[in-house]
Amino acid sequence: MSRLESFAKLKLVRAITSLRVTVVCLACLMVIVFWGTIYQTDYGLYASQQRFFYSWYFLAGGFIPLPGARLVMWVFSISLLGATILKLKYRWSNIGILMTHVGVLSFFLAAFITFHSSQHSSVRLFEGGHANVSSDYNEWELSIWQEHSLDASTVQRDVVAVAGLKEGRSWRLSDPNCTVDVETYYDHCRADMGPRSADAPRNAAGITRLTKQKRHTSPEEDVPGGIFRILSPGGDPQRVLLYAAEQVPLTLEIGDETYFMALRRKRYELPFSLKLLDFERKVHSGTAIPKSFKSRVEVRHADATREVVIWMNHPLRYADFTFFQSSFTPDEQGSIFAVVENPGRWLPYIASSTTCLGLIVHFVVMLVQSRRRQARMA
Amino acid sequence: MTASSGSPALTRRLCVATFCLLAAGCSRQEEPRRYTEIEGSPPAAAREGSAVAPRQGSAAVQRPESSGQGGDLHWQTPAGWTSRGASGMRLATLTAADSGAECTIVRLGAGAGGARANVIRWLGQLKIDLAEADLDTFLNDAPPIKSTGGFVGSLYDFTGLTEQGDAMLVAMFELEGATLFVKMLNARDVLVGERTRFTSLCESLRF
Repeated sequence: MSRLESFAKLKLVRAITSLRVTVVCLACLMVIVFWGTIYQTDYGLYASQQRFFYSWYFLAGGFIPLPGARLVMWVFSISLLGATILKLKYRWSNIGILMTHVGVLSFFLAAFITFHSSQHSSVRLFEGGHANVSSDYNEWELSIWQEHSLDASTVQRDVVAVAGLKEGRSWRLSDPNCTVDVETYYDHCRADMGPRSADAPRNAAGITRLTKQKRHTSPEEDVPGGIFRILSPGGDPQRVLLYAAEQVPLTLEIGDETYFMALRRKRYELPFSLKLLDFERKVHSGTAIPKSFKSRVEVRHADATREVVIWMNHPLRYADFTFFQSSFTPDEQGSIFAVVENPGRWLPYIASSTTCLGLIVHFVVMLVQSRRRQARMA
Repeated sequence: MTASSGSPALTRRLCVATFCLLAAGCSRQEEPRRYTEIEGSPPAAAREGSAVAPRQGSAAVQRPESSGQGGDLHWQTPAGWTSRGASGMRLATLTAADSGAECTIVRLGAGAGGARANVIRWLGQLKIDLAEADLDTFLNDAPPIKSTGGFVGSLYDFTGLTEQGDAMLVAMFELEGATLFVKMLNARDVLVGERTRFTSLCESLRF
């Protein structure tokens, strides 16, 4: 008996690769998808994703643990992979089944890559403006930068940023040469202005106090804030208070240099620059309800440029990035794009095609075998 | 090899693999990141431009500071705000691009009812109950504000009077035979963030 065969006969392996596991997993996924969809209407997309789809388990009614989609999909994929390797009989008549298994496994691979590697962010531009960064919806970073003008309308910021802010965390930076300590950090807080005491941390807007607040169901609505200690060699420690809703950065002297500092949404560098040439918004006649909105943009990469029109269901695709027309600014003079970076964005297409092709091949093989049997019997 | 003899070794390997997977998923402190951010302002506004400040919310190009005018009054529109011009009694309505918060500039004749009466009216509008003594404190503690044009007034910051919901920032300037109101009404968190720009607008007022 080969090593693989003996492994396949282990009780645990037989149980995991059983067809029952597949059926149970499919049933669980069906329930989770249905429940998650219903849950989303009241609690929003983010809460639903976190509770049902990104979790190993969730509590029904507050105390009954049920498997989350993450656990189910891991079990499902291990079961399917095991069955494909250990149970499937590798002969030509099973080629369709093998292709179908590989196709379904590709779905899991796509889900894995998307879950661990994809980034969701947004870019907001005004007509004539351009940018080479997008910003996260939920994550925040402490940014320290120096800026200089490239021309009359363009500014370059050389940024060093730390994310994953939590009380007690500390980072040693080389440029600027300093240590950043997180003294206090709240994921959501309110800011108050008041009389400044001598030991109050510095703040650009005159905020003197932060009070922790209960987080929103949708973290996009949270406004974090914190007190940070900046220690530079030879300099006095500087305590600064940063509140994410502040619109003006804090100016900071570190060594002989002047830096800007702000608590802002985590930024991602794009491999190109995006310029908004024109934004057009149409409303339904006699109302303020948007009928359509589209943006004409210029994509600039190195010295090459190209114009693209982005509108509903017609995103811009560039390398692993997809830019969707998402919204417009409150003053209706700028356009907002949702940016999705997904290195595995082609995998679902490949998985679907492979699965479909596998089913077709299997059907043809069955048909041919059935005809041959009938011919033999006749 | 039999199934029973291979089992413990395989189980050990499975355990190690599971541990590695779990360890990879544990949260670690992120390392500092460096990146270069290049932002360009809209060209029309940039002609009058000044420094570009960062905006919160989304990576974006900031509208730079620009000049504004309503009647004989002039001001600097703060970076990130746009001016929609005059309408009705308003000399101007300015809008913060991020939040959509509106700031209005209105000039009324003479004392316009005085600070106390107006503050009571605004408190009512915000549904804030303030005892008489607290009202006196609020009025007396309102910080003075002076513009580059020599206008002298007071800044009434209602963000400290409410835990959540709407609040107001109002600057009242006593001019010769008139009162100038610069007013911003929005969610208190939004106003806390916009306060620096609001005061910079007030400080830039001149004839």
